[in-house]
Amino acid sequence: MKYLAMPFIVLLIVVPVALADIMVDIPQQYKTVAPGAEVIANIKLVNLGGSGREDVFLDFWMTDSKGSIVLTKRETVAVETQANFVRTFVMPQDTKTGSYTLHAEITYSDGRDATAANDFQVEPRKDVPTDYRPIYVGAAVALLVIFFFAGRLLMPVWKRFQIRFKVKSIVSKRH
Amino acid sequence: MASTLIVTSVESLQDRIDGSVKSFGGIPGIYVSLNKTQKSTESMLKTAGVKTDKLFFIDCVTAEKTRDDVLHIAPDQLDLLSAAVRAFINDIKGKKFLVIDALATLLIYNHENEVARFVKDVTNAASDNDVEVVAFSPTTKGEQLLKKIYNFFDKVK
Repeated sequence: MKYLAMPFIVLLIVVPVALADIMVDIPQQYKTVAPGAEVIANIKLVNLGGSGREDVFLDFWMTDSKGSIVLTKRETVAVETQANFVRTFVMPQDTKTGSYTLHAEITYSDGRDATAANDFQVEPRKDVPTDYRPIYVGAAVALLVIFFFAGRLLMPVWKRFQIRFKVKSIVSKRH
Repeated sequence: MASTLIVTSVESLQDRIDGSVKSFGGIPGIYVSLNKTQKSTESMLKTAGVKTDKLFFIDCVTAEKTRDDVLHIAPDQLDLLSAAVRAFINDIKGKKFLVIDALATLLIYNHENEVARFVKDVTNAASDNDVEVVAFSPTTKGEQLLKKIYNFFDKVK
């Protein structure tokens, strides 16, 4: 059986479509924070194929492990092809411990949008144990010095007192 | 009351001490023993016919405690020695005397200025309390010291 080779024509039509994207990165040192502490996130916006510089809405919201929103924030930023910036979020003092997610959404005027999220943990504040050893050692040395000098000062007084006491005892026995 | 420094030869020192203590009769006295132990001193005094039952000894020769009524003080602890003499002067009621048997012996253990200060302190305490002081020193020792302490005594023999 012979196959007849038939020519195919592939027509590639390129339609220009603007690409929007957003990335949220939480540095490792902010992956675990305490209630009341700051969470810092690096935000990267990409606007490929857009028509020059344009203002976009940037929404942030934070959810807990159950999906409940604990914090929201909205702002407008200007983006040309790419934008990087840092945003700081302060966790409320009464934030419960657990897993949280920082969401970010970018919305262009033409309706394009993109979302991104990143997780972090809220854990109870660990009281950094203060190293009191130098203070203790210093206090001990100071006490030793004080005792040493006090001893040197008081010892003769104590010895004279003992002598007087003994003399009194000797004399009273004879009398 | 007078204070007297008797400078005498080593050979006649004990005789002078015996005679001096005997001269006080039966009144209580403080005896600072610097060149013999209390036991030896008391024995010699008794041999010389001196009553020692009213003598309070401060033994600066030995630290060995033989009797409860004898105070042992090292000869280099002049502050304590002075405090002890003052305490005896204050606590013994009535007339009393003080004998220091070989003042220059203190120079073996102390600087002469410290000894001079001790002598001044003791003679002052005695003078304030009408206590007669007789201090002895062998002529062969501590010429410089003797010059320094002459003035603290009413009489020097």
